[in-house]
Amino acid sequence: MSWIEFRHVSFRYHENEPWVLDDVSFVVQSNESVALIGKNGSGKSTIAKLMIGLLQPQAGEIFIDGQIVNEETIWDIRSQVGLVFQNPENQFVGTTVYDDVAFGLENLAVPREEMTHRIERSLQQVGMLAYRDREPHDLSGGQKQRIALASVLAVEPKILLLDEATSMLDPHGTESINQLFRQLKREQNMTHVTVTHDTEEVMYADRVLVIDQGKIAEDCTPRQLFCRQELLDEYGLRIPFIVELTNELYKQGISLDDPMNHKELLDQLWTFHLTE
Amino acid sequence: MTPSFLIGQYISTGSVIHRLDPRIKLVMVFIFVFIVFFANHLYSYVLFSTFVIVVALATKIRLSYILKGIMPVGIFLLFTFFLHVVMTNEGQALLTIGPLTIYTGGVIRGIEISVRLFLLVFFTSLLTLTTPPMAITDGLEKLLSPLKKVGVPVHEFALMVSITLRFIPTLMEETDKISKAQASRGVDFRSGSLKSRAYAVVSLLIPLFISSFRRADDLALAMEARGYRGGEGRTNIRALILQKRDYVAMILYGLMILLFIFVQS
Repeated sequence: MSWIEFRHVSFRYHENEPWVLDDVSFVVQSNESVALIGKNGSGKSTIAKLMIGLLQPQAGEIFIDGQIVNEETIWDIRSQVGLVFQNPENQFVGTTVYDDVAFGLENLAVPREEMTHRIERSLQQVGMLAYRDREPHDLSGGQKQRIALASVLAVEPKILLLDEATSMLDPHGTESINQLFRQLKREQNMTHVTVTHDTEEVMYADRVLVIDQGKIAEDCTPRQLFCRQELLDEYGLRIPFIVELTNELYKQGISLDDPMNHKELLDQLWTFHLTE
Repeated sequence: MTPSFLIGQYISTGSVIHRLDPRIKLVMVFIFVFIVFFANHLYSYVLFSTFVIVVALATKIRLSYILKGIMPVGIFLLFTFFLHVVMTNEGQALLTIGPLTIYTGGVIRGIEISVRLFLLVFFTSLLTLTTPPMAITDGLEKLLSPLKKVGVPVHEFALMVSITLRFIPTLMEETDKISKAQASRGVDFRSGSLKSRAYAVVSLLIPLFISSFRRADDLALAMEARGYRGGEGRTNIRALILQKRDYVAMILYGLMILLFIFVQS
């Protein structure tokens, strides 16, 4: 049971600059999967950094599992919240895959036998166990992000944060990371927060928070978001392929029941004439 | 581009020498550097040469490869040899060329110094050939850890070295990318006067520096997010536990030194 609460949080990098986040409040329930979406500079990445105490808010409070995030608690918070960053290269600390996954565990002073066990399990989870002795320059961007995810999973956090973790990958790498992420969502009891500008990723979340100009502009389900074309246009979000297809079909006189993923779309398409 | 020439020429053959504890290897090399300069007896040189060759054979690395690796030092060896030959005025005069007279003492001394240096370089190169850079760093960290008590940041230093090693290939790749990008914009790295070429390098260095700083910033954030807060209260995944083979190696090495002392006296 782990939840995140932002209470009237405001943040800016320098005193004379405009607020990056302006009086933001929201709650993420435990085991919920939430996507934060918004344009560049909307403040969505800042939210991720605040959650793990890499930044401190100027006003308001942040609670993780009932515990306030401040200078005294950040080390405890960081063992409960795992953050995967955007750049695959710049978060790889170890000289080999194995060392990199070990890094977070070493910081938490996990005993060695336990470490070996956990490293193997988390590498298994991301399907990279065979690569344990590889060096980072032998790996593709997508593989490095898998390792970053394994490093975070090894620490066994209750909350998993992805801060645009796929934005620097090629389409193939993006798809493989997204698939892995969805699989983790199904298999593990964890709270997931995904910061993204990719609407395809949003479709798999339970809830979407649209961030615009430092405020939460919308708080709804993906289904509700994608049904409202004007919202997508207003916040400069690209329409996912499935929604676009549904809309086009509607114009052709074929109305589907708002499918939210490929499976739903396919099911509705192949049963379309049956139900008539 | 391979980064191998920068980070030592480690070659994996899985020999027993490779599997020795890096601490043992470091201490052995250190002692060797020390005692080789006490050698002044023919048998001592024979002993050391035999020892070094036996170790080299045990590494299962081709001898020709090892020799190729220490070739650059050969010029230095030759230079010291001639310096000693020319500068020493002992023993009988062998021959006179103009103002220079070469004595037997000089030739002997030159050979002695060259042999010592050769043994030294040869033995040290066996360390880097059989030990990955990371293992050397770990070994050094463990060996120097008593210095932590007097405030020497041993852990931080070891981490710095490991991060440097980890980022060398990344930065090499980046250098390659930037130089191609700049070349496509008309920067000429290969021709022109020395001054204009030096100037061209600036267009390579500045973007490289900027991106390195950005990387350092990202990396620091990532490390912090993963709970890094210095060396205090950290465990280490790399266990250095002395095995039976390490003790055997120590005993053999000790015997070699005893034999050396016996030969010398």
